[in-house]
Amino acid sequence: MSTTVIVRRLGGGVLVLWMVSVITFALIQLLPGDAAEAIAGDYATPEDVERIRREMGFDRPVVEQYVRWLLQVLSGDLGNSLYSGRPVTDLIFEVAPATISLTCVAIVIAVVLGVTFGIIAAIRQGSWVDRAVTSLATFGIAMPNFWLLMLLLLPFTVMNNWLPATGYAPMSRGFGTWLSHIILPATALGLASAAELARHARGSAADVLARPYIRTARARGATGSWLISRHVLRNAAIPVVTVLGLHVGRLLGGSIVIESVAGIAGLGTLAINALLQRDYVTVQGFVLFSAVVVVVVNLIVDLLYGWLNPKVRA
Amino acid sequence: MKRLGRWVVTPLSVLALLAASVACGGEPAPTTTSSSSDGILRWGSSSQPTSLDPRKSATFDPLFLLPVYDPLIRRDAKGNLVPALATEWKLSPDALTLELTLREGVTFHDGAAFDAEAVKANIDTGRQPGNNLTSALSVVDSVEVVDPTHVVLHLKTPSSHILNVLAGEAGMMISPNALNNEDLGTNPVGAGPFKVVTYNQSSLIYERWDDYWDRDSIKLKRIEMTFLLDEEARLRALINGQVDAAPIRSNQKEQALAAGLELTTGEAAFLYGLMLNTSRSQLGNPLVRKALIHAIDREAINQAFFDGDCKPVVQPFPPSHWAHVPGLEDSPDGRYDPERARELLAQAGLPNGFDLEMYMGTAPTFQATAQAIQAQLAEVGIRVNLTAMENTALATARRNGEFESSFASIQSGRPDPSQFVVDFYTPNGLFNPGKTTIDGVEPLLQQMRATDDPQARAEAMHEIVTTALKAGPPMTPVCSALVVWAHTDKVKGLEIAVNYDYEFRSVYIADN
Repeated sequence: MSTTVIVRRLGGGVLVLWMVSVITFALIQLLPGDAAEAIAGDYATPEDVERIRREMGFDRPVVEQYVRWLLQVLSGDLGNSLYSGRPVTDLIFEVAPATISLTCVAIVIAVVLGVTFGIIAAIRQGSWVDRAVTSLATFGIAMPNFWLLMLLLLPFTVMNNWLPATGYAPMSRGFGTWLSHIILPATALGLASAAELARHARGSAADVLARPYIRTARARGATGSWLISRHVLRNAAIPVVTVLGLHVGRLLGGSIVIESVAGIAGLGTLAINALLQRDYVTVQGFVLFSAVVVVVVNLIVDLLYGWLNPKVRA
Repeated sequence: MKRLGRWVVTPLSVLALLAASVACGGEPAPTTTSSSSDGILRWGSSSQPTSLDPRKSATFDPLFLLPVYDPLIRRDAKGNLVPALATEWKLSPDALTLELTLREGVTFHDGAAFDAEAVKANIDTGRQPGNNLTSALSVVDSVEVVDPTHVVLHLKTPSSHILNVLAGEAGMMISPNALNNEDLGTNPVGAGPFKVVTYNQSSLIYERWDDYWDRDSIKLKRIEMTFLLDEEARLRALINGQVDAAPIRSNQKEQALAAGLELTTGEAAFLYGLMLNTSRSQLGNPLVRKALIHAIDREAINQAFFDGDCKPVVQPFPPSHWAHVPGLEDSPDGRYDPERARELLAQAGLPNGFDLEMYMGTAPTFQATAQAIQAQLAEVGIRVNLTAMENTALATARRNGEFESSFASIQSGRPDPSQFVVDFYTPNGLFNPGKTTIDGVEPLLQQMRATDDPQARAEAMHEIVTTALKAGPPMTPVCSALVVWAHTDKVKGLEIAVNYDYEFRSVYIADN
């Protein structure tokens, strides 16, 4: 991929982030009453609210407030939580590992199941395997992930004590312990993506398998894994990677519900609690952080295109 | 599978590997069997602390604060005062000076000595503007150190309620060396039985501090609190054995019992009710407010929405609280009587009823209950227009008196029941936007605040509650919700404190 393309992509990413910053800043401005009312809480007098308004600079012109806030954010300071007073960056980095683990395992599950079954279905087009994969995929896409999680939790944690019922354990407590906590939520989170990936993988692999060069390769004696890994996978990967890139954002969003059902203290729980506690500074930080993650992931996806398909590098 | 070959098989085997490592890497079996003096309590918490600094904490935080901070005066589960860091207290006959005798030989976690200077430093920082204790401590004029074990509080007005204030957050003693610590909210330093060893967004872990002055009374070695804000997740963690005890919702009781858990229930000074703005609609008329008391079928609401766990009340305090007046709910002034409500409205010149705006929060329980009240009030001719409001907007409306009525949850016992009277029943109260005066309440309030005799205080309080009910209170109580804790049979000695002074002092883990 040429430097100009990368620079253009980066520029686009920065533009999106700037727009996100404007929107998240507006979030605080659009509060009913204003942020001072939210900070003051239920038992404050009107005088208290006025004092907070002055102290926090909410009485200044909006543009001045935005510039000051933006400079602060650019220096890595997302402000302090209105609820606990702790720096929002600390709160985010404290719980990010749980959500990143959850999302990564969900992606692994989505890719492994989605690509495997998609390609099996493509190879056996029209067979019962193909039909089973296609209908299961439709089912997987239609199923709400939190409901799936509840169904999974029932046999594994409530009826039998096979897996921990709630919470997250960091990898430092052992790989098995870590995985035992997130395997069910990650499965519930990843299955819908797996289903969608399976359909895309099936489509693009079927497309590639019908190409003349595959016939040529087969004529030269290429079969089985050799054929799939040399000739099909890479060519069929572009639509799959595109979908995967889009799904990272969706998985991050999905983790909000999944974490709260599973009792995991992650970014999703942080966001929900912040909303319930009217901690708008934390909500703002969460939105900004998620936007950065999604923009960066999409940038990586763009760069992957170039690696996967030399034609895009121009 | 053979034809598909290596690439396809590998990812599947990755999954198999993941599954295998889960199967053999599960959590070690919890070791709850331990001797009764060094058990571990694993608590599933329904809330997260706002701050572990008592000056910045919120209503439901004493649960997290009391293990770390010993208060000057303790309150037992029923709300009675018992000595703690202060061994004795003496209020002058005019209730203008309070002399505290302090326990000797007590140190804080950081080694600082607990003495009169430490008490003065704590109360003085609590009085500074901008923290949550400022208004509770506003009656304190000055703090005088007599000698290392004696301190005198000079009060601006007769204020016996200062004792309950000192039994709450304002009396929780912070090490004088840590008063200005920036990180006190996450790294607390007190003189209590436990020290915080881990605090993050998923858990709060305490370990017993062996130099605690009353070390022998503490039977837990560790308290491990896990924040499980989702009710279903909390119950699942209980059933799964991840936690030993946790608060649950009333309608989860059956499921908990079926899973072999035990239940402990208790009352709390917390009620649902209607906040009224007496300067709006017809609410300035006491007859209308009395009609509201009679028009609500509290028992029906209790059964329909709270599984019988929300005690019907026409007063701010639950039956087991010392400020509660027994029998008021069945008295002629308090009982459910829609006929009487219609008569009162007719007497008020409103035979055809009237329109009433009512705001409520967005939580489902609130909405369902408020709708039931709407239907009940319609029976007597009060046409309620319900509006659900986002919380900040609702709090702003209440603060500025920009509402007619609002269905609300109200905590009534902290720091002292007299604070509820000040906030709701006196003209300058925070939650009395119509500035309604109830004849007789203020002299009784002064009378109550002029004595620290529990009997005399209770009597004055009972008279205030009865007087307010007869006069048509500017706040209509509905019911007081019970607290329900589910726990394994190994957890013994749990006590639900009526004023939220949850301590784990009496808790131990049984051997069997």
